Amino acid sequence: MHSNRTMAGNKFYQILFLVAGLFLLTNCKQQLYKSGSAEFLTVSEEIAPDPFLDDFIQSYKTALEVEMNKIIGETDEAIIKSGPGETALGNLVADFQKEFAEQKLGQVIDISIINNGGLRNNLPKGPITLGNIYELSPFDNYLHILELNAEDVRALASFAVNRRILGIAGMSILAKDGEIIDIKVGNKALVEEKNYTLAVNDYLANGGDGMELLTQLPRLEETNILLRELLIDRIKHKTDLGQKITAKVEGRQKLD
Amino acid sequence: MDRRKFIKNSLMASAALGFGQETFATGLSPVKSKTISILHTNDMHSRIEPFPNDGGRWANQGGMTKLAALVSDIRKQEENVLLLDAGDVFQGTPYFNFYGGELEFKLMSKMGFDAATMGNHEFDNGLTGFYDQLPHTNFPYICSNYDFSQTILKDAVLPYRVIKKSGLRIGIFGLGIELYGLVAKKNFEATVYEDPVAVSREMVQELKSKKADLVICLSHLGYSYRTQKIDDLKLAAAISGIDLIIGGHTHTFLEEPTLIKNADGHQTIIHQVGTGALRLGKVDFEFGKENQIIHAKANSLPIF
Repeated sequence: MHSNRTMAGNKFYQILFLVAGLFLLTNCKQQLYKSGSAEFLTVSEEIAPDPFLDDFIQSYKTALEVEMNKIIGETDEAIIKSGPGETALGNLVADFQKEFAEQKLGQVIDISIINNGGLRNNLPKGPITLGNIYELSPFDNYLHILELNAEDVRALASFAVNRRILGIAGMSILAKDGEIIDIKVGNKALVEEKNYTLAVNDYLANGGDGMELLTQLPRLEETNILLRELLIDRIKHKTDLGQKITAKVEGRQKLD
Repeated sequence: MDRRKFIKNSLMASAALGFGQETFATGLSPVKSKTISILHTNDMHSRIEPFPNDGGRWANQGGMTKLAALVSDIRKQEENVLLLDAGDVFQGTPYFNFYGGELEFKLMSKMGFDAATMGNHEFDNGLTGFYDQLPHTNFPYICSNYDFSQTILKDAVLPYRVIKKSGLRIGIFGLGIELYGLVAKKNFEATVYEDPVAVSREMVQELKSKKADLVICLSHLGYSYRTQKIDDLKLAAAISGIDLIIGGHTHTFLEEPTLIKNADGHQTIIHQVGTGALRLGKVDFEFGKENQIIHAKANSLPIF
């Protein structure tokens, strides 16, 4: 009797468990139902900024504007990026990058390059504000130093000739009809067994703007120094020396 | 049209469009279902104010001050709201360069963010640069696959958190991207990057053991890569038990959330809303009596 009741009890519990199990399986398994068409809403009207937050940021904004309007240097005439290949602005930035790397990193820099597309605004004639530099270089590109052999230098020059998107310091190129006639680094002909140093930003070093040729080159330095920081540093440095900021197209890349 | 009314109508429209078959939900028909709205951002990149009125693509759009207005509108309509961020709050406007993230964190705190995970740009001023700004947050940073045990962030960042909201338990963990090659070594110091898939497996188990009704992953891995590199799509396919991946890093403007069904039949929603607080993601979950998920809808609300 006792055992029968137990057996009946077992059976009861078995069924209970089965029912409970089925319930759990169907009911408690997490189910998500996808939308037939999750939509993308376009709100064409203006949303006004939250008044409390907008008010809250004002003191920060004002202080920031004061900072951005600070004059850090001066030009005699506007330094512009004009058309493909060599530009005044490209020369200036490539020069500053080379100079900065040599002075602050203690590296001998043979060549320095900058992508014209990364320079987003011209330097105006007259005072240069901090804000001008943020407009010129809004991206957070970091200074990298790579190592090139003579063959790599030729590939780099060839890229400059074909794509015409680089500002260059330290290297001059003479080309005609897309063919390189002469390359000079530091005013000297290439030396086959020599290694050359290249100052460049991380964007290009990692293959940006089609510069795959740089991706496999040895890295001597991968700094977290922003291009913007080094430009500000160099402009302030020139200003401290009583110099104005000047640059011009001077035939570093003769690509007729 | 009045903005609030518009939002309300939009939400109704998306509900009416019928996020899926209601048959299952109808069959169980809980007397009173619980709902939660997950609002989310990613890659706000110090966009404190709307994009400048310079004729650019996003002129006058996005930004945290406008985002706040939208969030506060939604809070008036929704009872249960979680506001989450998937990383890269830092870097992108001079506000970051001058204030180091202080203003971003203060605005996020005022908006009522519940949690965030670290993007690679949170390392831009080094571990100390991030650590020093944490007092300006009133919400936790959650990173599950960065081992900070040998760093200053050791006790400053959580591996996961369970947030209780109206009887629901929302489990949240966070995944960061491989730092090597992306962030300068001196900026992440002794931080150890751990495999996101293995860590996710542990996290899902841990959060389930804490009786999480909903498992959310804040991911800064990126939406999709053609290479073998781990991304949100691969993660969702590999791991069972994540209900929602809130993505970031790739600045992907998803036209609609992606639904991934993995081998076990578990379905994961992936959502990502671009950059610059141009959009606010909104994923609504509805729960039955047993707090099982019976219904999910998702949409993107552009902010402009």
